[in-house]
Amino acid sequence: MSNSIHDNPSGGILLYGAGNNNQPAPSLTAATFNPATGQATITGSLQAVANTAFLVQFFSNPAGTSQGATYLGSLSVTTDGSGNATFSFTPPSSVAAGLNITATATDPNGNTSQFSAPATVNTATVDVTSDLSVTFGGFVYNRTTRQFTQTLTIANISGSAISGPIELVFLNLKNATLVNQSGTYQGSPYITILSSGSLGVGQSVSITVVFNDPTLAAIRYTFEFLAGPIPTQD
Amino acid sequence: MNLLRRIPWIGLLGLVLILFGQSARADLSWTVSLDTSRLAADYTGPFALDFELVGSNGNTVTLSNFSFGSSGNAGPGSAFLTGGASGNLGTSVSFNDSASFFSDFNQQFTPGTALTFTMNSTLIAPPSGGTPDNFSMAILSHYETTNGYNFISNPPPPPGDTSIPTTDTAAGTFFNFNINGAVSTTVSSFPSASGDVSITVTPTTSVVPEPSTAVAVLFTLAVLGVWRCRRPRGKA
Repeated sequence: MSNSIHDNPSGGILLYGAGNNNQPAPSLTAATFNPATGQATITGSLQAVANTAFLVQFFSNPAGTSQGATYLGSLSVTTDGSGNATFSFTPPSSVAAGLNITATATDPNGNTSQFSAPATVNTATVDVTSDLSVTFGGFVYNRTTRQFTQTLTIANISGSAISGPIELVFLNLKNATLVNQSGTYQGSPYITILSSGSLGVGQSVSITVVFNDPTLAAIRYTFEFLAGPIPTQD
Repeated sequence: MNLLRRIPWIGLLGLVLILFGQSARADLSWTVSLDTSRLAADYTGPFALDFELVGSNGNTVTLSNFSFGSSGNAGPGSAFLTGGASGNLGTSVSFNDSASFFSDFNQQFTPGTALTFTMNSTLIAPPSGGTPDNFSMAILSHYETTNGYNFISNPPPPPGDTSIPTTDTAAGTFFNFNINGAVSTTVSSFPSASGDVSITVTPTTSVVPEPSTAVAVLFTLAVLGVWRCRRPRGKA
């Protein structure tokens, strides 16, 4: 059942009476896009006949829809003695954040469930510090603003493109405050170095960081890079 | 006899050592020139030269041979020094950041037709992944001659000292450079934003070779001298 099914006002697949043995649909827990790998992971569970192998098929749909617009792939799931099974599926092709994921389950006799309730693909926030290198410029004092500027050049040294947003988090910042910060993350200021698009393999981006250091003491910090959205409550 | 045959090769080895010595030279030198002929006409004085060395890697920067051009001169007034800065525009100015993260020199000057000086810097690079020292220059206008440049007030009280805008939109310097060792230390220079104060920064030769370079030079000269004296004369 890898057809494209979409825009049906009644829901795409409807089972009436005992049609298709009332095969239960899977339940999707989450659909998460990893900006460091460019891949999504779909997790969920199936409650159906015990000790039976089912074919679970996955579909993506434009935001606001939840049938089976684009087939993503499938995997075989076997229920335990209680009829429970959990699964985790990584589609072979990239799945963008914001799409709705649905799934069906098909028993060995070819009875297919309705589409599951949709799970919207959210972008995870992951630590990509080891995927990026930084070349530091020196601190230069702007005599007019009386603030220090520093240029940082950040390069992708990993083997895959990293999707934005990408943030540089300043940890343990000493003797200064970050003037051009984009926000704070777990109490530390950060700057968004790439708001959209992606940083390809070997590509680099330069940013200017501005510090307020009224005592002129040595500015110190460590850092980490995150890819993915920073929660607004932080 | 075998030694005599090998002497040219030993000399060649010495030359290679010289080349390595040059790449590991101890410092770099530049000549800095600014056309200051329109400074007094286009901006409000008093004016001051402001130099800063920022960092903690133990570098030393020395400025000397100041020339202010026709009708220009150092002063009036003395220099204001912060951190590891010393000297004055009449003789030479020196910075060392071994003990101070922030070193600043500022002193009033009277602009003439052109400002030139010699700049010499050691080349201690930061540890791997670290922050390089940075040296920079700005020209201050509305200079407060009694107390010198005010670092604390942000913004300064009117008409407080401020730097003449340049095309360095981030920091407003006329030049600055990160000290990243012999190979990667280059000066970035910027004219005034309005284009009326131009600047050139020209590298000159290294003035203080590494000790290994001096040894290599002496060794090479000695070997070549011995070889020339002892080699058999060719027949006419």
